[in-house]
Amino acid sequence: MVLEKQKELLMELSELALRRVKELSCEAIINASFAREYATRFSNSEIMQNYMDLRRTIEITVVYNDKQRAGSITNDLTKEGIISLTEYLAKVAKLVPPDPMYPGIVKEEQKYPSLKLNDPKAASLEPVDIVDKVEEAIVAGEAIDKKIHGVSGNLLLADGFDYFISSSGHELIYPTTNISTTINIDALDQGEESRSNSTFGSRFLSKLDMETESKEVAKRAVQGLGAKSIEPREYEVILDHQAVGTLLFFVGYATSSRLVINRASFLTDKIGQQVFDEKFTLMNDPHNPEHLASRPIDDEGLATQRFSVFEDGVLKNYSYSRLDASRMGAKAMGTGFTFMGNAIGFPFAETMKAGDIAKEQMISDIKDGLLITNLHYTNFVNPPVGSITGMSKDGLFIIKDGEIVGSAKNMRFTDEIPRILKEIEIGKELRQPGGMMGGNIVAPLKIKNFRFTSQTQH
Amino acid sequence: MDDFIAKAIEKAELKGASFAECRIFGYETDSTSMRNGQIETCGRSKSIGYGVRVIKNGAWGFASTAIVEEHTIEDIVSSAIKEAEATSKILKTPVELTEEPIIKDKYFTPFVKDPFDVDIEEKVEILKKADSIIAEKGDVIKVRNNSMNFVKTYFDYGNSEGTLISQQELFSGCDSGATAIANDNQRRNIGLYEMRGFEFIDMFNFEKTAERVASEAVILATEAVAPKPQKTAFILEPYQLGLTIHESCGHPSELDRVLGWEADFAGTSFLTTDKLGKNYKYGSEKVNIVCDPTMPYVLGHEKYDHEGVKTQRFHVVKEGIFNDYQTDRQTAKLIGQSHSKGNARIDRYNRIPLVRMSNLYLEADPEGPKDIDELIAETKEGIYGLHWKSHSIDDKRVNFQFSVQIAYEIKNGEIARPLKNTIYQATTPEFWGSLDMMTKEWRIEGLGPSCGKGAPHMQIIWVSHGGPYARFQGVNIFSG
Repeated sequence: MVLEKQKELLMELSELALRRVKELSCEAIINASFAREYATRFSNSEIMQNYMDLRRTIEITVVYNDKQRAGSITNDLTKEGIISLTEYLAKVAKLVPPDPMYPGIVKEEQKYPSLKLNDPKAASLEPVDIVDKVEEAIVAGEAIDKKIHGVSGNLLLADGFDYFISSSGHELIYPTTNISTTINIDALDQGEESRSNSTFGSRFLSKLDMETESKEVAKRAVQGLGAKSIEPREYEVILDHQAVGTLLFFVGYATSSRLVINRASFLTDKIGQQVFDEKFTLMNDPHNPEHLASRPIDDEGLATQRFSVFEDGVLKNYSYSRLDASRMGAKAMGTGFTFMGNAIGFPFAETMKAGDIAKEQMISDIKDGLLITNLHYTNFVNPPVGSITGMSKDGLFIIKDGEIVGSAKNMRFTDEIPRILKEIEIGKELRQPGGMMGGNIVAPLKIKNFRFTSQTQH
Repeated sequence: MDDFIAKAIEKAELKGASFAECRIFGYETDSTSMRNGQIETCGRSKSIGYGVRVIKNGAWGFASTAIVEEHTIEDIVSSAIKEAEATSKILKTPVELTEEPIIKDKYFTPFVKDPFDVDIEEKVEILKKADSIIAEKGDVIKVRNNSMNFVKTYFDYGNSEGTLISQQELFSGCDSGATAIANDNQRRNIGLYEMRGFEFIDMFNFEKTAERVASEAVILATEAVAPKPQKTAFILEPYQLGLTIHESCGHPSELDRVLGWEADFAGTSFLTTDKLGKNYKYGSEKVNIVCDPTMPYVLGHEKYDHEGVKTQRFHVVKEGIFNDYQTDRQTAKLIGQSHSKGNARIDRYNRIPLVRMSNLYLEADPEGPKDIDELIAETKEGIYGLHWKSHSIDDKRVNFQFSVQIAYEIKNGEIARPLKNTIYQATTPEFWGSLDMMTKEWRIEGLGPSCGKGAPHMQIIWVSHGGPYARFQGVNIFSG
């Protein structure tokens, strides 16, 4: 009921804005969304925050003469507010200097794919349903071992719809449900602490198996007790799904046209070149309904597309906004994300091609190495050369003669992405850890040389 | 808004809440950015709404909406109550809050000129001028960026104890940057914020700043060298010192992190509660880290926090010894303190207050060298690093690695040559233990809305930091 009412309101206000824009001799694109969000955060095995929000926004980009634009995002959804905002944007769009490379709003015909991205049952959920899920995770995690000290984490469920309309006649509305969760479990033994972590998601609350995941996380937390200090140096390592997800966010970000035109990407001028190991293939796959970032349309009104980002280690495509594509003489493929009229490209539905080796086999193949389950505070150090740094967190395990023999205290790595992905093996188990921009579908990676540069005390 | 807030609180109490608060919060921005002479962003954003937080059966519940109309109060209060009732199902520790004075007040941060009233043409002209100054450096400059950003916040708050506050903030920020490519690809930028109006644009001085970043970008790309790996004396200017304070002193002293409430996202803290009041040595005796949101004009300045508690100046570290945590009403109560330190903040109406930094800085040394020139003259050998390029720190805030945009090698008390890609890596107590000299000159630098914390919704808070020019001994330096 709430959803339907808000849908009508957002569509009515969007059409009102478009009418006013046309009266002012301008064009516009409008992205609107509404969602009921349930958000819960738990720590030390109890809920610290539990809340519900009715989130709604309208983002309007007004374009004058195909070359001048101004943008705004608002949740002040009164008719007076929208009209006043639209008039302000039209005034500003007429005043800003024209950008000769700006291609104007999308006018070409678009075929938007039909995707099922929602859980119809989500609309009838109550707060107690979310608490029940959290309780399952807490009870299951605590039952694994007496050394489990506390279960922490969070859960966000957003259920609503996204709406796009433009003055050139493009229009699409589609429902979405998105659930993401993190479980972080603390084991304690004689004052020594060990944590393990998992971030994952689903479109269906019924498919979100927090109980099973919590058990796995708890086992890893206990396994992490007794961590030893090891020397910083190069190691052969396995990056588990969540660590791979973090690494591939930085790889994807480096393919953003915004970084490329700002000369801030190590992938500048590398299209068609062998950048990584030939086993590495990465797609942007926005039509897979299981992918939590999937969508039929980007923020600029282009239909999203499946395309190769890397194929056999060769860089095949950047992800463009329409303006960047125009500047670079390329074609945008539905990867634009806008904020106040400024769009950047990003391969938001990253999906790795799986290998044919089981993770267990990868571990067996390592004589002297490490299993890294999670990376923390990863950041570019020098973006034009692809150097990054970060820490291991919540699970660093020592592998000797093909077996996990214990855990290690966390280490800092500082290395260059092209070097990290130069010699790799790819696991066969695909999984979708959560993360920035909706996360990605990834497989474990075995990396021949991974450079740890310093230690920490835990 | 007072009537609206009173109605929400009354409804919550009727539905069995033992505590209720209603927070109406607006956040408006006005942004203009230019890249290579073309406007990249020009527009405004607005987020407004209200949230009701209650305690029922000893548990928190919260609900919010963007529709600030009386007819929504019943639903929002009912939802908050339902959330609390659901939470109480698995409650272990009933929520208790510190007792705080009841306050009735209105406060507005002072400004001279409202940037939302300034014509777009004036803003574009300023950015164009800065762009042309950078462009004058020639073809070696490949990317020119200049921007200005203005933020207004509106905060109306009331709780069932009787506190009723209205507070408005206005802050302004500017950034100027250049990327030069010659022997190397290097970027230099300077961005600053203050709790002021459009008058801050003159104080930032786009023309001077654009000239500086362009010149230094050219130096970095053409003549700077990478430092060899070494342990040496390392001097930080107030901005980068501020970032180091933020990461290695600010976050570890947030009590919610210490209690494990941030474990699922940003991590915990090495500064465990057994270290409070036990003369825990955080750094050398010269280290005095002060939290002071009462300081006017600095970013993070506010008279009241978002739980309606009056903010205050206090030492986090005093003469090298850990002194106290940053707290809110719930966390302070949990460790037996009688009052919150006033560090609860939200970034939008639909978020729950978390323990956040505001203005945290290192006190200068009144006996130290006058300024950076005198400090360099006092340094036989070392490196002077300026402005943020990259940062990373572990989940307990111990092992950190930061890099600076530009650095200078110091030989025999003089600047010898420029350095690029300079990284410093240390552990927190070791680094602060090595602070041996600071200038009398100091300043606070606004880092902008840039500090992320919280899950599943991350909140981005505006903070400022700074202090003097400070020298640390035996710092691990390398390049990358």
